[in-house]
Amino acid sequence: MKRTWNLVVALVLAVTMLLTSSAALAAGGADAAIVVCIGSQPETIDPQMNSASDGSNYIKHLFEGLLKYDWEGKGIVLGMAESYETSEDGLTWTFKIRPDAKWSDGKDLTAEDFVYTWRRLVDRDNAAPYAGDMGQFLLNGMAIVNGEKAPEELGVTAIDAKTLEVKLENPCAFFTDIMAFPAYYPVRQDIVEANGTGWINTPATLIGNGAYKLESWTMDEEIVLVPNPEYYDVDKVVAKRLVFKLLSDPIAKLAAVRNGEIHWTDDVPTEEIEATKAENLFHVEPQLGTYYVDINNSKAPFDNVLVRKALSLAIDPNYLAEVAIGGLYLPATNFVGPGFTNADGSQFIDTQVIIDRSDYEANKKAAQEALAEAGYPNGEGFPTVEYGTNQSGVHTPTMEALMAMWKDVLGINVVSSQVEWSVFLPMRRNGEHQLARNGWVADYNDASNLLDLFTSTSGNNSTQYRSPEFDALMAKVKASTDAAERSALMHEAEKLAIGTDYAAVPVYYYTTLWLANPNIKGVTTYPTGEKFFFLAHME
Amino acid sequence: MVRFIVRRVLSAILTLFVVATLTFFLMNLIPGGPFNTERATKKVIEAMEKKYGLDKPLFTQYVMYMGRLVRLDLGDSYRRAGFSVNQILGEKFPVSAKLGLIAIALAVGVGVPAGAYAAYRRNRAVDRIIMFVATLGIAVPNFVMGTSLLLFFGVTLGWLPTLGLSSWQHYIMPAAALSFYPTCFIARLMRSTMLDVLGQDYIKTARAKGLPERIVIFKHALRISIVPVVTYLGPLAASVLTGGFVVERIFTIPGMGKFFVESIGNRDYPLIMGATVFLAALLILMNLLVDLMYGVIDPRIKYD
Repeated sequence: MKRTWNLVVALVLAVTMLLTSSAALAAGGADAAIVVCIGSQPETIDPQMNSASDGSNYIKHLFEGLLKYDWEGKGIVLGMAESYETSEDGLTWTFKIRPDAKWSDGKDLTAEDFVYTWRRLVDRDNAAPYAGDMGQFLLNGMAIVNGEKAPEELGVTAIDAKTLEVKLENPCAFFTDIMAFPAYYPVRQDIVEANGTGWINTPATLIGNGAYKLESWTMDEEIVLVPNPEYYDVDKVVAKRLVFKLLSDPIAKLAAVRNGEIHWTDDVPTEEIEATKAENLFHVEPQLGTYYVDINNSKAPFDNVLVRKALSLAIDPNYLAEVAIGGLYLPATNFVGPGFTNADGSQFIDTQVIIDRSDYEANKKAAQEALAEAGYPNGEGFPTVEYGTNQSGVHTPTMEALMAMWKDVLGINVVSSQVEWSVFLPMRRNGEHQLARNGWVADYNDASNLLDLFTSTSGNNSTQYRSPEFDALMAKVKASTDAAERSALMHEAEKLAIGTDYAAVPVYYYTTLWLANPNIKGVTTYPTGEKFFFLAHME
Repeated sequence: MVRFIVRRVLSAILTLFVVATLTFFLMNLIPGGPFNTERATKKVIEAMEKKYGLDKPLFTQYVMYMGRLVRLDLGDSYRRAGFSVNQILGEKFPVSAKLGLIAIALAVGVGVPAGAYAAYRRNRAVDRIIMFVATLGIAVPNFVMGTSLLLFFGVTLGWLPTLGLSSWQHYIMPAAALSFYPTCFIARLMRSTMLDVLGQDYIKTARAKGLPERIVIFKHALRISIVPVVTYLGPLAASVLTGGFVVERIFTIPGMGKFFVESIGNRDYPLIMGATVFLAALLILMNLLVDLMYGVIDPRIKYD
């Protein structure tokens, strides 16, 4: 009898467990939450302290700038500002803040909030990673970052509660892009000062002004967002519950997309591209950015332009892109790739071809001649050099193919120096490398964002390229108010650095890749890396 | 007994001090630093280092760190802004520990009876089968086991969820993957000591006295045979409780193992220190517990 009783209990328990678990699974499906993954645990989602692309996307859901990227993909539109005016000389911008602009705790959003935030960005004591890159546009911004002036001298003033006056260092043709950049999104002084760096990590203290507010953040697990009822356009928010899973392993993410646990992720294992294409999960779009071979222009033998020319012409980006990495990125001819625009709205890249990659045989010959002219006929006497890269994703196959091309065409020995990321970065930045992989994804749609990498004063100029002529061109670009002239100058600069001086070798144009459940609709992406889920829903 | 414990605790503190000191200096010897991100310029890095006191001489940093450690303050993570190391350990350890406890229970619960039974039935078919599986288990690394389970039950059959630990079904695969090796190890260990014990004089005596086989095996043989297993449990518990790195990675479990390794890659100094000291403390504690358990299990063992 006792035994039968035990059996009954066990059976009842088993059935209950099965029922509850299937109920839980059902609740997770259909139209409940939108579950996505755009990265692992972010370093921070504090608008001024962030420098990563995943962080920037969380920020764009939780905060909003004076201007913003449109949720449907229509480009930059008004955000917290209801209107703005620009002075004749392009140096003063006056923003009118929406009367209904509020923080998620119901308090009014004022011009003073922006003044506080922007000073926070450039204040040296805060060590904000984008202080220089973004702060340089505002009057005295760079001087404050360099410690020559006080943060109070920044060119931003609250005229009244809802009017903000912004003074620029130079006229800036793409200042609307800058105003939509997360480093310029407002944070609240009382909250930040009362709670220290951790203010951003808990729902109680994360007071934002965006379409969503934080419901919970479980470390390394998930960030859950729900619509912010104080937001002026909250009625337009479609995804009522947004779960960002914080995962790092691409294979695990793929498995989760396949079995429906995740609806969208921007991480695709290279070896699974073909399979995911067949399953109708894979998507690809151009991204504003370039993958390049970083040549250390200051070190022999690379201080000789002929050597750099030989290295550049000896490779075949078409083969690299299509075969070596299976079409993940697009082959590059220019440094400034597709998506960037000229003053007249035409594609920047359509104006000129910097390095013609259509006839590889001719390029090979030219490369061999250049190397011979540099004093190394058939690679004789050329030292063995190192190509530095970190070990992940496409970097290894790219490196292997590059080394083989340089060996075959030029007869030179390039050996790999694959090191860990934390070691690789300072090595490249300090110019201790010979050849290294490098890449830059644009922060805003202006060619200067990429070309600035080659100016002598750029902190990111790891090629160590130094050209007074190039610097002068870029200085003119900065000072110019004539959009057409700016475009022309930038074409000239690109031709000089890449096509004449061969400071670096553009290899690929980046793309944005993602895996999406075939039923998810309303996700918007931009070539500058925005991934928007405001309008996401399952069909 | 009390003297034994006091002595062990004192030596534990000394060990922890040495571990912390060694880790601190070794960690600073590795090239690279915590603030190297793709776009961080030298200026940005300098500003960050100043903010976190990394511009001070190394020895000063060491003294400051040890000062905080004595007060059990492990500092703030560099790469997880606004999260303290204490908070991170407090959140992560329970996740790994829960899974670890399940794995240990499985390993002991399956490994001990399997090994004992194999010894009891030595050289019979059942012994051969158990030993075949056990040898296989020792040869197959847990990442192969984990991935195979994931592929078969998670993807092909779609029976079990693959991400995280949000329901009881989520525990099945990671616990199986994590416990497979220790289960097999324990089974083999158990079998060999059991065989040894079964040949001992006192077992022969017990049998000669005409005790039922049940009592011989369960009361006399099993109890002594389990001592080596208990020895193995100390380090096993410490390593499994703090998270199998590989298994946590495969099943994307937000536990300690995963971020311990990540913290090294990121050069997140306070986190490396905190996790190492914590792991060392746990290992020492587990070994102490094991030593104390010997006395309970085997009356022949005495502390002095």
